[in-house]
Amino acid sequence: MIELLTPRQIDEMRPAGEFVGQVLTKLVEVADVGVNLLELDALAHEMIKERGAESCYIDYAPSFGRGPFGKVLCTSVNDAVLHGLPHDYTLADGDLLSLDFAVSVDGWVCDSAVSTVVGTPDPADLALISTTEEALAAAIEVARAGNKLGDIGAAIGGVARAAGYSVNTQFGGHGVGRTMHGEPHVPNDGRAGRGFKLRPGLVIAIEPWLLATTDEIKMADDGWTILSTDGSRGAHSEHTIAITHGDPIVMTAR
Amino acid sequence: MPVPTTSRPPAEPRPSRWQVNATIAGAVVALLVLVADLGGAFDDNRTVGVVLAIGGAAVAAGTVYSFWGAPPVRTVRMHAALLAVMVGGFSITAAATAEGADGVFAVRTMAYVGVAALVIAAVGLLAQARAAGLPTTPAPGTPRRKNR
Repeated sequence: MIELLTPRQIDEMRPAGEFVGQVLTKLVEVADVGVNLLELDALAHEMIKERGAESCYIDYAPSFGRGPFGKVLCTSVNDAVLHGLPHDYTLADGDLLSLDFAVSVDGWVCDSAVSTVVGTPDPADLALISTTEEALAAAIEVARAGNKLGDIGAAIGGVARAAGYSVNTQFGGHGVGRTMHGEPHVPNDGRAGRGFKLRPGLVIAIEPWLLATTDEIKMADDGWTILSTDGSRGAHSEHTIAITHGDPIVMTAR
Repeated sequence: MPVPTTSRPPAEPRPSRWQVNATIAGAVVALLVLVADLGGAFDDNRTVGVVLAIGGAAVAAGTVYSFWGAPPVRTVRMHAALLAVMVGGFSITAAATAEGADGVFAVRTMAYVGVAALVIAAVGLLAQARAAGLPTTPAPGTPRRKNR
């Protein structure tokens, strides 16, 4: 069931979005050569405790992962692009790091992701990250009342293909509200003018993700981390947005 | 955290590729049996026809049943498609298993109902896929892929 929130409920959701944005900003600042992924997870966990928030990940055990996630942050490095399970890995110069984070604050969930390069960046990695961000911006631009769900997918797919990347539609965005994963599913490709009509009060996570030279993915041995099949690097950008009568509200703005 | 298109999370799921393939395969089997039966292929051994028809109809109906509640919302057309597949499956099964000697008209009527129901189901499922924002044909420039 698709839930439409009232303006008051969207206002109640804002603290969750602001907190998610703050945590990701802090994590990007801290992420550097020599920092361990487990340190990033620990920092995020500490911030959650201080805020009195609740992690959406730590006990999450969906069908597409192996058991409870057990961490509060997704850390996907290089050829890992989604659901990266934090492990004992120290970031090296030039690593492409994607961070995905979702919490519940006062019963409302917000979800966001960002990609960055630690140390010396490779221009190809920066272009990949930039394209996911442009795709996200294009999708947010069309996330307006009266448009269709297919407009969002078409915007993402259009930006990706224009930049020379192919699109994998096996994982996509989703509705957000009292729970992290709700309806509707928000595909990263589609036909403009098709699909569910976007209405004021609809809150969704839009999350384009791309791989440099393939659109094929595989599951890592940890049962969670999604890797590219050819070892190419991936990038992921995400915001939780609320559709209104006017411009969409980026709940997780950083 | 993104959600998979093909998984079955607590949110209502989208049909996976194998479900679609299984439904198509089941419907094709049921239709082939129907055509063969109308041609008299099973007049001498109706047990084979019965088994094949029930198998095909069961696969088609069962896998479509697992689509129940596909996103974005439980639509009227989704229910209609499901009902149509059920009707089609049972009608074809009944047509294939009926004794033809004294019931030719009824057998053919059931067969036509079954075929019509399956066509309606296919149209309903396609409409549902489009309504969910899924590209039903590759977008311009999309490279061809295997197993997608």
